[in-house]
Amino acid sequence: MSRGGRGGRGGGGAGRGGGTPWATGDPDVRAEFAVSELFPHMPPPVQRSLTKDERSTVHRFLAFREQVHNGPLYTIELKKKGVLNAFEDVQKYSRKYEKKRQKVPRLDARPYVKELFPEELHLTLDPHGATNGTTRKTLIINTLSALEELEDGKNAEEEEEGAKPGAEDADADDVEEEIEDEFEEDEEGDYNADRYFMEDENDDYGADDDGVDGDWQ
Amino acid sequence: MSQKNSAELCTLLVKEIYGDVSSKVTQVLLQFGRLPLPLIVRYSKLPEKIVKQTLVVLIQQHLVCHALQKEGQRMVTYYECDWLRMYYLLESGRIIQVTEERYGEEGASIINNFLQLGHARVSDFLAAYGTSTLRQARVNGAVNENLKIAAINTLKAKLGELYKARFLVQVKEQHMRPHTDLVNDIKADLRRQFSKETAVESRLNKLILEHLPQRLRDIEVGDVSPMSGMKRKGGGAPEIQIRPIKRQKKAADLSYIGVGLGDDDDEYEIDEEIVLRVNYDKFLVLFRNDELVALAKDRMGETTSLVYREVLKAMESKVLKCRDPMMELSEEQGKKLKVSTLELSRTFPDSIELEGTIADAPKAKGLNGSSSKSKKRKVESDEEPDAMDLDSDDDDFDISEDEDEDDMNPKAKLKKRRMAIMKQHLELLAQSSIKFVRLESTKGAGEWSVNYKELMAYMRQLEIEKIVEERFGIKATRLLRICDEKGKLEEKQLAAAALTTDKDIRAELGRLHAAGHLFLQELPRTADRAASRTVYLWYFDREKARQSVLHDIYKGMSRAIQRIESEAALRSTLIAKVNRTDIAEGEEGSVLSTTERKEWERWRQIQAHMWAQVERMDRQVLILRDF
Repeated sequence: MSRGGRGGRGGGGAGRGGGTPWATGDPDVRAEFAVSELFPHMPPPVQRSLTKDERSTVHRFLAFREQVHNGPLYTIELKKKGVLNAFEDVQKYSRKYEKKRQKVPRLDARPYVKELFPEELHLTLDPHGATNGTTRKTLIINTLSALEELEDGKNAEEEEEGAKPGAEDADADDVEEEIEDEFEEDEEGDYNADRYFMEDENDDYGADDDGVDGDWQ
Repeated sequence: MSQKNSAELCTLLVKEIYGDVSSKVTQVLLQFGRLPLPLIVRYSKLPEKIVKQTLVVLIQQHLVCHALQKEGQRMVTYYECDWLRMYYLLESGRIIQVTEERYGEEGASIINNFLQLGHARVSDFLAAYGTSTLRQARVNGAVNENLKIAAINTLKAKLGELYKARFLVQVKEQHMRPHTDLVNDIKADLRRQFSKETAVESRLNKLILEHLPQRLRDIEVGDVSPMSGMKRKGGGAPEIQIRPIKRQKKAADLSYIGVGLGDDDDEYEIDEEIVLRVNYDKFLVLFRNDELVALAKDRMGETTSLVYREVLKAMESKVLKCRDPMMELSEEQGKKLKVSTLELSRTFPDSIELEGTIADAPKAKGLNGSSSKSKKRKVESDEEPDAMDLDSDDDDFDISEDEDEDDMNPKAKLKKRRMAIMKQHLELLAQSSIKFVRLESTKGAGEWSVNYKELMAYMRQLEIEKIVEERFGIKATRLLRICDEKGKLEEKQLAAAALTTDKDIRAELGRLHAAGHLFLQELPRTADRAASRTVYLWYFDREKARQSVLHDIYKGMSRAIQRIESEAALRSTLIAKVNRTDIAEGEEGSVLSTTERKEWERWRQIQAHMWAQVERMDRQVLILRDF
């Protein structure tokens, strides 16, 4: 911005009013001398709280997604061969119960309407085309119980707003203490593999909550 | 550039629901457009076998279309993404919920399964369902062959209902073809058909273009005759047998919603050979009605909006899709979709309290007494079944008929009273500045129509103004509205219209321009196009502004979903722990420590809030794009 011409600063003392020579007649305009903030505080907009309808819609959506994830069509990408993470990819006991996601969709599980697929994919639909007709495949149906689950979830969601924290603390106190005792020394996490190499005594190794330490000592 | 945002959003949505591999294939298809298999393999850098399997998944879910095309000597199959269908994945939750409201848990379960399966043949669906319900029955301790039959019968009835309501529609081979191919096919077909009639190319083209929309719609909408896809029952379970089975069903605690097994429609049942899928068009119509009702509630109040909801519901079955060109055409020809007050009063639910919702004019002193009387009667009538109410409603019943009040059946009187109030509400809706309904004729105590096209144009504008106001404040919104009303304006004229000086609005205009809400037109006065001798006109283009807002929203949605992903990545260990296979669902609490449990709760909250935000943006998108 223009400084109001050469020598403006020098003649500053002579000015009247605000003392700035470039002050115009507009009384609303005040010169700002403070250093302006580079990133002024901008409060982000806050989300309106969710309505009951929105809650249940989201819940339905998440339940739907969960069902697809557990179904035959959800796939995760194959790991590239030859790239091995020394800590993550080694077989470990604690990973025994880890949920395994499929790398390839399970296509042979259900019947298809072949006319709706292009011819070049027909073999993919039914790799053992010759034997077809002897065994009848069925669709995988999520039964009514799946929806009951949804109901439960929805109720839980609604309760959440209510007396959740108190109730939970009360009934879970004893269990918590036990669990905490068990976990106390594990606070850094089971997966900190380095720790096990550094420490001499490794009685904690593989100590899971299901009490299998014996197997590992 | 504009497609970048929507493509990103679609890829993210597919990733969220069908996993990495599917999203990689869709990303390639969205980026490069139509591709044959070998090129997809090359660009996606995935093994051919996996690409093939993934394509099967995507075609099954209708996310990818395919077309066989002759190229030289051989036939090549091309694949193309249907990005709107990918976008509609987001609607799954709402679709299930709406179905549950209307058809109960059973209906919602069916729709949920069809969403999971993509499309399925009815017979396959029934077979699979039959075995699973049988399993359920066994769990309950009673293995009963009759139970299975009953379950299949109810299921079939329910499927028929959903199909009739067009929640489910038939899938034909044409539906798997990309839109452009479909149009080309129809054009070629029409050309063959009309080439005998005329040899003049221009006339032929004109004829083709005339018939194209109708043919296209026939394919998109499918057969709408009431008995299509239905067939006569081959001799189902006799009437006598059905009753005890029903009771058994209750005993087995399979909470079925009562389906009218004894209805006249029972002669027909759904054809088991047809292939069904979820009809998104129909659900969009329902969502649109919801938005209209919400707007009416904002403007006119609760009860009026409830009356409006009933009006829209009465028309629902005849509105096949939003932005239906054929419907607009028939409207132009004077065949409007109408519903009369009388028809409305027949289906109007008694649970909606109309009494006292509209203040009477002060002079009607006698009316007050009668209104309190009818209120008392209403309480009485509530205890009786609704069917009685319907019976007492004669066809020749008319509000204008001046019957003696004392001679009338109290129920009929109440009905008449309710109808009068209902009419007042409808008049309010018609008189509002937004024309929610229009009075078409006085037949049946007033016939009403809804002009969806105009209403939606208004709603789109409203939505854009809301966004501008939120971002730039009220002054900017005012400028936008002035531009919209007056057309192209110079800065000075604009300032004069806004009753300010041009200095005041300059910054606002610049900001609106940068955000893509307002546009500039240069008009050089001399041939050298000197800036000083150029007129700059500001204008607002609804279509352009809509597009720019839409793409901003797509981007916002993508960011929200990415945020969810990164929040999940932060808690990957915890999520893996909760998802462990040895932990039954709902029992996470017993294995998590206090901190973990708190974190888990927090994660669930974050997830719900973020998805809710995405759904909110989705609402805006639907208004701006689909309704």
